[in-house]
Amino acid sequence: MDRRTLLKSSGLFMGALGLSTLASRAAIAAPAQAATQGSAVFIPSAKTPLLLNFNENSLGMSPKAQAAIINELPAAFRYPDDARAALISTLAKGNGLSDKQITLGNGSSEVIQMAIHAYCGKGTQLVCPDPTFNYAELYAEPMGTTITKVKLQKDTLAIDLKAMRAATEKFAGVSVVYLCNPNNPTATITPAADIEAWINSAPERVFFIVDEAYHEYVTDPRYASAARLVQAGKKNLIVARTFSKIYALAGLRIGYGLAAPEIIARLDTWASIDNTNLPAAIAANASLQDTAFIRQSLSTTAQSRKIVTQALDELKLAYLPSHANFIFHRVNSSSAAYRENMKKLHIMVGRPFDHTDGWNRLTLGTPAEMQAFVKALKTLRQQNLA
Amino acid sequence: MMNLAERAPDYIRAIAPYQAGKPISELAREMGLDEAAIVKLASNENPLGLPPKARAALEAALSDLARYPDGNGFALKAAIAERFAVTQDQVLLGNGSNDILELVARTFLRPGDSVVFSEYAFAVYPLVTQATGARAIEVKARDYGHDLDAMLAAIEPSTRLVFIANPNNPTGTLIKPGALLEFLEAVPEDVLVVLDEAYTEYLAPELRADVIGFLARFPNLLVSRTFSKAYGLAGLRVGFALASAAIVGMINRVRQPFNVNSLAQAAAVAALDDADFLARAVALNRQGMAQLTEALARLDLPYIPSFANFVTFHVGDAAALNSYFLRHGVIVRPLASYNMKNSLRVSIGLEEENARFIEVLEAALR
Repeated sequence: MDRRTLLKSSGLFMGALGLSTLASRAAIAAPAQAATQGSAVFIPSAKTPLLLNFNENSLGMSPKAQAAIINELPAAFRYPDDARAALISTLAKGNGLSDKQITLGNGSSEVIQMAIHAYCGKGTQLVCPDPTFNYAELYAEPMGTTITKVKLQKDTLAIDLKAMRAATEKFAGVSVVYLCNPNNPTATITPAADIEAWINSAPERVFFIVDEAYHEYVTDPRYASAARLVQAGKKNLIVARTFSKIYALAGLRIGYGLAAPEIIARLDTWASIDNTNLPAAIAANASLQDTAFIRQSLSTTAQSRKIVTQALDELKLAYLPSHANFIFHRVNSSSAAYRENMKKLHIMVGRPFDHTDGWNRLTLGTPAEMQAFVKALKTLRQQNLA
Repeated sequence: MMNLAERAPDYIRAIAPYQAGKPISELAREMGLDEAAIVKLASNENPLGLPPKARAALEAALSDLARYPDGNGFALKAAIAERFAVTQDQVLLGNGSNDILELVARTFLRPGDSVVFSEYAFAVYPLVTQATGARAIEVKARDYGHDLDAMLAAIEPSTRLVFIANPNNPTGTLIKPGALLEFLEAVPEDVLVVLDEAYTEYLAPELRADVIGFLARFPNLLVSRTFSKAYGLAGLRVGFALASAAIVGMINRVRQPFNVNSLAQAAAVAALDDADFLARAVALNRQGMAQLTEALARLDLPYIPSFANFVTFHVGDAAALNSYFLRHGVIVRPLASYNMKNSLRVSIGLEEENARFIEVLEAALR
């Protein structure tokens, strides 16, 4: 099959799962934030819907980041090279790496895309948990890559590393392993010891993409960033991180990758030139240094998690331990019906994930937002809808 | 055992990364100069800065950046479609027009295909060609510009793409509308012509080809534009392409879902609507071009007549002159990577920036 035919045949898949569902939220996105900030009570309405469906940070960006953007806006007619170099330097220092071990992406999704373009294609295999964040699959599939999805463990919904490893051992060619830690949509962690044991002993033909989009939220001691493998000189992985989650810069599109210098050099040939914009680089750099904002985000997320888990306990709805700014919980109906019922109350929750009907992914917004959510959840329960 | 990095195909490992213009802060550090005293005329940016309407739109958009952008770019596509009288499904948005060029290559090229472009054309064409494993067919330039007859003759059965930059970067040369039309009429229908018009806003109206009319006639044409030059938004990263809905639809399949950030979308909508800024940018460019070319003529330095916002001139030892410029806080663009070792490219700046460039140039030649 030639590449055009391949693109055509994969188009429906990409269109259905990629562009349209992710993009269609735009129409309802704009008004929520102003209503969220600074108010003790949040009342969802058609004009100010409550957006708990994209794991964004409802606090909005760090005030220092916002001030930095405003300060630098007059320079936005220039290409962003200066600001990119400064951010790379901050990231290198913060992660105990050299500048040559950092790449910037137009969101961490571009870092994932660069790795997929560099390693996948016909005759190679992508091994990923199922369900998980699906961009690696979206990018790899049209390239003719064999996609091997490994179901989460039955009761815990934890990633099944053993089965994933077995999948790489059965495959003779290059395998790219996508690991999302904490995983999306479950918010559960995979212990560092297990990941490190595999990466340290994997054969040369296996390459790992460790997506740590929610890294900053994790406090569990069993978790550690795979960045320490990069620090130790391992050349068979890239760690992808984003500024879209705790740093609240989703609209600016900026993420980064950590890897060995030769891996970064190889991936950079797949990166678009000047792929990160000036305000994003400026805001990201300022955000990294605003420890007060990070503390505030962590503490409001913890409060919000408590508000939600208390209500779920009260309503006897099971949930998985949340190590991120979202939580995966049971609902007493199909997931689709539950989302629709919440939508009628102007609350957007979750999105579809395979093999997990009866579960919903809920973003943890501000405590005021979560109180509004709990109120709605109890209303649905009274109507036997949740 | 073979290192994973060494598993990269030869065509990827052969790529020499793109060299951007030297950043101001880097030069300040290297030379111990004051940043404010440095004149950067290296990256063809708009010396007027941001359009005032874009500035206002940016400030208004700041409060909502924690949310993901509109992945469909609805408002911007609507504004572009209205401005250029095309339908919204004919508009493709990119993270800069560089993203557009890469997306086109990634969508239509595979190893074994070939791509035709001109000698001295934009450096990104060979880069994106190489990255897909396709073969570059570089056609010798005529008077530093595109030799369309030779390019037509160079098209092979394996050729899938032709890149044309009009005006061309880094030489500033122009293909007249009639010649472009003749070329499009002669190109085989199964070859996509990528017409890169990054600098088209600087052209006098009578020199501008009716590309919108061409689009209606030639389903194998894609026109690429950018907001980084005359619209003054280089730091925000936004460009677009116009083509048939079928071509745009195909490229959208490999596009990253959120490739254009929220600030860029808001600023681009406003910039399209800032006719006054665009007129001032074009007028300033015309005056600056006269200022620079008069000086070059006076100093007996031959230059390539340019239709863009920069001019390329020839000197004996360009590397030596370039380092003289850098030592005196003026950043211009050496063109050795384009195989033009004896030439430098200078972007047109504000009147006083141009004057500083001329002053340093005169001192260097004295």
